[in-house]
Amino acid sequence: MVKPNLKVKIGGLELRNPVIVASGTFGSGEEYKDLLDLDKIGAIVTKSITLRPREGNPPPRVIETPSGMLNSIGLQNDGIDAFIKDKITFLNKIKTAVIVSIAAHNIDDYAEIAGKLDKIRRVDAIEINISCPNVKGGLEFAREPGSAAAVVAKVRAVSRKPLITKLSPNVKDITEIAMAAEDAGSDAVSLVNTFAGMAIDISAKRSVLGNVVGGLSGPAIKPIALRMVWETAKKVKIPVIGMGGIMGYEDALEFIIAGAAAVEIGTVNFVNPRAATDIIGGIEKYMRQEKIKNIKELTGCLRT
Amino acid sequence: MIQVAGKVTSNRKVKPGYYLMAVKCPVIAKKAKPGQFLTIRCGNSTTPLLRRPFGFHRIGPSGFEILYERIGKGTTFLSGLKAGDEIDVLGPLGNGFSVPKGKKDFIIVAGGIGVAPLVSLAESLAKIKKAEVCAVIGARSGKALLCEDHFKKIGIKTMAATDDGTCGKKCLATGVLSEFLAGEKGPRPVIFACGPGPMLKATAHIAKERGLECYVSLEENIACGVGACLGCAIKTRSGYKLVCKDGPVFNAKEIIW
Repeated sequence: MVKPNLKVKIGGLELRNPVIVASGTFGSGEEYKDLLDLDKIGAIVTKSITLRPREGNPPPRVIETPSGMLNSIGLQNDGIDAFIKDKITFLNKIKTAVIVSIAAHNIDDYAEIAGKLDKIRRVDAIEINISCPNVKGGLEFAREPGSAAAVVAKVRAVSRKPLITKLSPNVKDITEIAMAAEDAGSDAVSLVNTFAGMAIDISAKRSVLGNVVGGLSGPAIKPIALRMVWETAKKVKIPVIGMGGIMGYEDALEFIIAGAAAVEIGTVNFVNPRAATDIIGGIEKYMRQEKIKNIKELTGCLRT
Repeated sequence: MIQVAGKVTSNRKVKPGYYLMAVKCPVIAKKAKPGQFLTIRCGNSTTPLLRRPFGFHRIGPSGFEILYERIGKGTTFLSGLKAGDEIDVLGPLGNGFSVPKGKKDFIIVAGGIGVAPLVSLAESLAKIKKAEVCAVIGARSGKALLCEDHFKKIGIKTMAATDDGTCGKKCLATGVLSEFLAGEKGPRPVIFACGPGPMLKATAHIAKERGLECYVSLEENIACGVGACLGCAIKTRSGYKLVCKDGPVFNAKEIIW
């Protein structure tokens, strides 16, 4: 049998395979360069960048929970100018697609960051993070279709790059937000970001996280994330990038069968730094066994 | 840093609740330095989920040892491993202890399981010509006092402190440290410490009062271990630093306690 075709398209961007490492879990890629072949990954989404540097939330910032973890990093980053100055040199050395995640508190800042990135060739696409649960106002734009659309439209106006809007599950109806992002010109949607959650130390009677609340990720959220991806994929025509608790290739395939064109993997990168290449290998093996020539045949093939 | 399979060569209880595991893993052992750490994936299930960090207890040419306390799901999993079992190891991570050049006087301050990474340091300090190495080891009780014999065996003057007085002095490790350093003509050693937060804070305070150099190995919840997730931040005089990448060893005067 010929080698299965794993290529997928997100807007105008073609990825060599559908496995993307999620924002905030992979730094800017360099942190993992000794641990796996970065060129084999579908794409790297870099840690969310804001216009100005942010120091992040007080510690503790992470805690394990049953089959998951809570984090409240709080968008710690050095700002867009430092990102462009310090991170692009390394990214130029790798062949993998680079998707830069951007976050902001107001619409003008989103546009300013996207404008600066538009000039940089190495940036293949932008993921608009409107869904960080760990900063004050971080979820503001993901909560209502109108505000989500306003951010996407403003970024669309200044950027020629493919745009992916990253959605929050902490909303009444995620499909409405996805449709609003699509109408405003987003080339794809990625979902889900983390679920707002918390953990309490009963002896201290304090929240375990310095920020009191955080975002839940990991296998604990997978069934809910999968259901949201399935519902969203039925409502939009643009590609859906599915994520939430993917640990192995079987999980990735579940999202793809539910309707995802590609997947992002996050928490598993901490558990197994080689997860991305392991999952790509697993998908390829499954396709050979099932005699599937093209990954596109799998997207949304759920029998109901 | 390398992610590789290590082979457990022995795993035994050394005191109630405390275990010593030897792992054959030449590629990591060859690169590891005292004060650095490794992470282990504790099984293949999703509970425990995250890899668990351990300081290198002893480092040899073909492997390393970790000394650990069975306190949660990860360490309970580890305590059940047998010789011949394979584990997924990632390391060496972080920066080790850097020993200031020309110094000959050192004191190690350990509290509880915090003694674990200080043994590999002690072994390297003991090799420095004409070095004067002392150690204070603190624990809840004599039953939880670790490594005293090992320190003595490698020629280190070792003092013990226990909360209940069942071994050594009935006081905190920092009480013994203060007494040892007392007097205007007292020794002026470089301090290396690892243990509970309050002990490290008190040690840093003693060092500051006496104008002594002091290095502490810190602990935080660790997710990635490689500086990517920014989860293990601690507050320092130059902003947040990462225990996994900038540490785990820090100059005590940098830390905002």
